[in-house]
Amino acid sequence: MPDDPAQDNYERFVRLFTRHEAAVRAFVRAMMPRPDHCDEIMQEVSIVAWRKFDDLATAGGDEFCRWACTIARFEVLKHRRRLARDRLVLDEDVLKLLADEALDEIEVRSRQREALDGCLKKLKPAQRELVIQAYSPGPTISEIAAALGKTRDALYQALRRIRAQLLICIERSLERETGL
Amino acid sequence: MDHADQRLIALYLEGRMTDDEFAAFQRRLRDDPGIRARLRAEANLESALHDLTATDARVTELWNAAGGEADESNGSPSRDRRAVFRPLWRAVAAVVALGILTGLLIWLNAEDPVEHAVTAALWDRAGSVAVVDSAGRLRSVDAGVTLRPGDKIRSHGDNSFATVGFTDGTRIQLVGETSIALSGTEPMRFTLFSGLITAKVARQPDDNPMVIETPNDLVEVLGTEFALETSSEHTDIHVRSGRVRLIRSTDGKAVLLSKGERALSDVHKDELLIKADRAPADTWEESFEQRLPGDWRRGEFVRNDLPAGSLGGVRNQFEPRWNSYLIDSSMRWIEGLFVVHADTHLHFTFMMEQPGWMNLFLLTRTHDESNPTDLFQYNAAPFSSATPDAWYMLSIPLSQWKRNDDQHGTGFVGPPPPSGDLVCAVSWSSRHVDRGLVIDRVWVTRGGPGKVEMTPLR
Repeated sequence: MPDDPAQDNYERFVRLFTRHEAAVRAFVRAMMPRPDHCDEIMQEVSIVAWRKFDDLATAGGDEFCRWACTIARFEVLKHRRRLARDRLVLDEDVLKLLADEALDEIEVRSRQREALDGCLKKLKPAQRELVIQAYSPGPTISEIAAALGKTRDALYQALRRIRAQLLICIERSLERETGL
Repeated sequence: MDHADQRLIALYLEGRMTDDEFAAFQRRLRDDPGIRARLRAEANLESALHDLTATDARVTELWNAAGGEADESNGSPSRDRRAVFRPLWRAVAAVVALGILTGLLIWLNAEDPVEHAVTAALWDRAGSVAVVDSAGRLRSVDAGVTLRPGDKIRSHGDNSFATVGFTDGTRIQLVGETSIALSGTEPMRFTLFSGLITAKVARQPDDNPMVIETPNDLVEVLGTEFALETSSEHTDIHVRSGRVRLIRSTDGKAVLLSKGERALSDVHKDELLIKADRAPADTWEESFEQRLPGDWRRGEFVRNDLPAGSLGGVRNQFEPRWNSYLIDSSMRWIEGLFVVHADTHLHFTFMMEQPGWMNLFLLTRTHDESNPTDLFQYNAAPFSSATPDAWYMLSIPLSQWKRNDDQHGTGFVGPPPPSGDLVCAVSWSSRHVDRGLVIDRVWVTRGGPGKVEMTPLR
């Protein structure tokens, strides 16, 4: 059988990256909430991570996630410098605070994401339907609001209430399961 | 965490803050670790909601029914919006068509005919379709709704379509992931941002052809039938009748295409390639010996642990947006991968690390203008009886596939793909569980065992 170490390394990288992509994306999103910014940064993170993957030769999955988030932290700060004149871009010192604290929360955030599925099922059907519509790729909030005959503000308010409900549910789930 | 802080976090994540609110928000973030932690928790939730709902979108839009992905634990499929709406849309479309025909007859019989402006309307649609006006407001997608210059029409998901009709008889159909904007009706002009359209265009004035703009090209149409696919990098046009001129915007190079000709404009190539039309193939094969073909949409190329003599295979790939493990072939809408016959069989050699339930899907192009795509499923139960890491050959007659025909809420229960339809894409899919599916070779033949047959490879 052919044995190509470079190919093996690449396949290992792709598997690790796809497994931890959601965690890294969530890490980035706290600092750069705009989806287009987040996508650009994630693209850079994947390129840089692959380029430096040899540095991580012996690392396991958990180490990979933290390592990729460290790369993401750097890329967020780099991206921020390009966007310095844009609105709603946090100052560098605030981003550093958020990022450094987030590096210590990777595991708990991952558990929170796992608990979400169960909490979504506990929502009322109409609430769940609204969440699916609002977060699915496709129509914008304004489009959905118009289709439902609501104002955009009313829809944002409804989604805020649902998110608060979900966060409470997630916290309770983790308390029950892990005592966190 | 007080209400004011929660409001600031929400506004920040929604991107709707005033400058004063943002300044206050930054001060709070600097001072209070509690609001920083809450922001990270909310951002984490936002990110996860996008991932999870994309999974639902996959179910309802790409595969068009949760029934297509029903697993061992839950065999109850969700309703298929497309199939439920199909009879209604057909009826409404028929009424609209009748109205247009009646109007045309009245016009033809009038002694003093009046010049009527050409108008456009949404004639039909299925799956996920949105119409947005120039101000970004969502418009109705009811059949017959008049479209105005500036409207954007978007079909979302492989198995969705929308038909835009003009009162001169011209018909444009958006297929799959496609978006267009209507720029004008006299002359007819629109922009195809990305995706695929098929069109039947009524005779246009010689000095005023219909114009379609794509990201890199212009297409002038005098009256013809064609299929046009575009992305940010290429424009692919196949003319079924009449004549069409393709003009590359960047350098002005142009080519005039006649019946049966096909042109490909690619930003990476200097020439506009013209290919002769080819009859659809009866057979198809991919053996992945050197690489994964460049246009395969999902799957990882692997070189190890393959059957003796093999140099390459494809392993299922995790797609976080849909929480599924997938191998997706290329999507060949215009020419198809292969044409369906009564005796067509799909074969593949495979290995699974964790044998169990999987689904196979075929996306087809039909000859029915009111329903241009169909999705078929084969629930690959034989996978469950495989031994881990052992190689098998599985042969499945296409007669074993079932159409997504969920008028009774029962999922994939329709007839198999009819002879003559083109298969445009093949997919292997398992949700939640990584079966470690590796395919060494896939091929299609006419003739075969006539039943599902799984045999171990020696």
